[in-house]
Amino acid sequence: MTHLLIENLHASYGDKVILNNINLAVAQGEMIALLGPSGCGKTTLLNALCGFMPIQSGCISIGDRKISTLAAEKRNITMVFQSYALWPHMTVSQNIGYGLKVQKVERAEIETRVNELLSIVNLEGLQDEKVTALSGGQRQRVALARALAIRPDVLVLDEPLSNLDAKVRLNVRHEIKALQKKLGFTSLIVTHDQEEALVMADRIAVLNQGQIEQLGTPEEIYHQPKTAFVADFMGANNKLTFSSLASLQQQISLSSLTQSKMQPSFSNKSTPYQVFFRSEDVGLTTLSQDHPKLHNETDAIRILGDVQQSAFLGGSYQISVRCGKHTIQADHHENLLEGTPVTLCVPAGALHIF
Amino acid sequence: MRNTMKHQLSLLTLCQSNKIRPSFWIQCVFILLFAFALFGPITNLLIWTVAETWYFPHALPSEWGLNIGTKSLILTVMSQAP
Amino acid sequence: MRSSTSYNLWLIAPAALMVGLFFLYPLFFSLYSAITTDEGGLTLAHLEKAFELYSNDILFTIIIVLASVVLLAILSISIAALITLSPFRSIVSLLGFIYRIPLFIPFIVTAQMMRTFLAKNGLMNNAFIASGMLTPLETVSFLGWSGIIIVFVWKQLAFCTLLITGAMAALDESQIRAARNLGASRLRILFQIMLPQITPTIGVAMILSTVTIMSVLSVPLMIGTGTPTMIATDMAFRINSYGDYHVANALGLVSYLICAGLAWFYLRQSLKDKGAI
Repeated sequence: MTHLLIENLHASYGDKVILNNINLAVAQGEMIALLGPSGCGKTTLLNALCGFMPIQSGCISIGDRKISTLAAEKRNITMVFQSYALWPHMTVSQNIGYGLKVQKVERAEIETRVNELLSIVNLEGLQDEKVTALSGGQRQRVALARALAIRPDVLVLDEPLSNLDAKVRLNVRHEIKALQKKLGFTSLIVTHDQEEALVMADRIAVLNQGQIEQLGTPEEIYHQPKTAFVADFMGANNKLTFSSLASLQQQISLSSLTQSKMQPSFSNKSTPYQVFFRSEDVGLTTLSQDHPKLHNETDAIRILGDVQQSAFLGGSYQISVRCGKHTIQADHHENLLEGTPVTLCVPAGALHIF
Repeated sequence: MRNTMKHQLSLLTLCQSNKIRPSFWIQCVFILLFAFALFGPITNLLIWTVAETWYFPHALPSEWGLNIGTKSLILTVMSQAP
Repeated sequence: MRSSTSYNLWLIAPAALMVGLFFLYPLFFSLYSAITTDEGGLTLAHLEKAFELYSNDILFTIIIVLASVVLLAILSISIAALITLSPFRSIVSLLGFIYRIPLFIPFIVTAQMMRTFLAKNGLMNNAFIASGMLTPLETVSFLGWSGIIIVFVWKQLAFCTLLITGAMAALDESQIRAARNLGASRLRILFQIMLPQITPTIGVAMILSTVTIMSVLSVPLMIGTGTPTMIATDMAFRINSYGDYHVANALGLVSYLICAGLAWFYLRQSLKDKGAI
């Protein structure tokens, strides 16, 4: 059942169009990640949703309540900010209980609700601390509790984890996800980190230049990107360009292409063919190209190149290979010296062609 | 065209739904009063610099002129100070 | 380590010398002069005389300062709040521009124009008569204590508003947004979110204004009606008419104590807010 509905939303700063025809339907209890590079309009979308910036046209509704014409304080959408935005002159419990105080809830009830929230976000015993005395992770949890206190219709999170240490970030990420599952609130999370989006969201909307490029489950977005931008953004950042279908067919047969992630518009296009694939899907070998072992897999692109650079990633090495005018990243289990000739082998199934 | 109309319509509903009109007028009145209090004395000073004679209760001076000797600011200050 | 310390001492020596010579020495000399006779013995006679002759003026000064500071606080906070919080950006940007004008008008010019503006036959009453709001017989002169307060507020408002607007603008925008989407109105945000965080700035603005108000001579001279008047006028009078530096310095000591009292009150308050007391 659709809970939050955004229809034909347009927004701009002066002449610059920031949001261009956004349509999004969010179900009750669903968590949607808005993913995109900086400047793609994802934060603007949150601001428009919360009423912090005017929209040109379009409609936002929650259930059958139209909210796009309401002021921010009447929308019942709360935000968790990147900078936490806690009020430093208040204690933890004053921060969390503020929304209830504004709603003129009785003092005893505020206290019960604040204690309940404190235990939900694992901050028991800290209610009388000044928020300035807390660590980053604790502050973000206070911000989350504060936003949840008034039981908002929609919770929006604006890059909530980007100010946290890498280790804390992983914990808080799972905590937020678990909390969302447990309490069942509807939420939108803005992030530029694809891993964060994949882990946390039920569905992901990839934004580019003010438009939703693709909306789908994490698996769909990861395995079946609909545009070159999504493929590139979701980590398939190796790119090869083929000027014609014929030059592509020299490498792989058309039958395997139809099985791979080929787009419908594929066969009758005039622009060069762009092929995207992930570094972990690249098979790298130092064997020469005509070695029989390499021809076990028939449908694969094979490319010759020289090792340009090798970087240790912990579990494996990331090898930069120069192949003509392209540089290709490949994961490999051992370190290779600069200049080593190698053969790269990318199976057709791992290719995204646009 | 349709978009502009829609936009105007949404602005109209915004005004009505939030009842922001009274606060808008209160703010306007406040700013007008403030501007009067600010520019009144300054206007007064400027008029005096180009006035020769100005008797109460005329709204404006009856004689205009730029005779420095009679109305040099410092001289006025000195002669009127107790 | 030691050599770097002595090197640092040499570095600050010229500045310290200037402060000592042109600030500390005159200050302590005037304080010393307030409590000593010509022969150098300690005495409270000058202070007694100052209180005997001018206790009304001292009280008058305190009332003027307090009234001005209270009005300044109310008005500058309202203007700053309008500038930062008002949803009507276009009219407010006009306000944001014009409020600064008095910053560039000296006190003596302000006093001069107010003298002719606020008088019984001044432009203000003229305007009221011309608009039919008053008859010539109903006009009132604002020269005197009310005029003094009006001039001080008029002139210092720009300065206080500038400081307070700056402090409000420096607050994290998302703190205000967080309060808004929890349902708080703008007025509530002003009193519960913004003002508690900028009280130090408001305190500084008010104390600096107090010191300015205490030290301005031209305003009580030109706007005041003679008696009672402000301490600064009395000091000028003691020196110009009698060459009586001792009583003038005693009055100086009193005005210094008034400022110090306010500063102490402010410091105690801000420490209390931080939970130190």
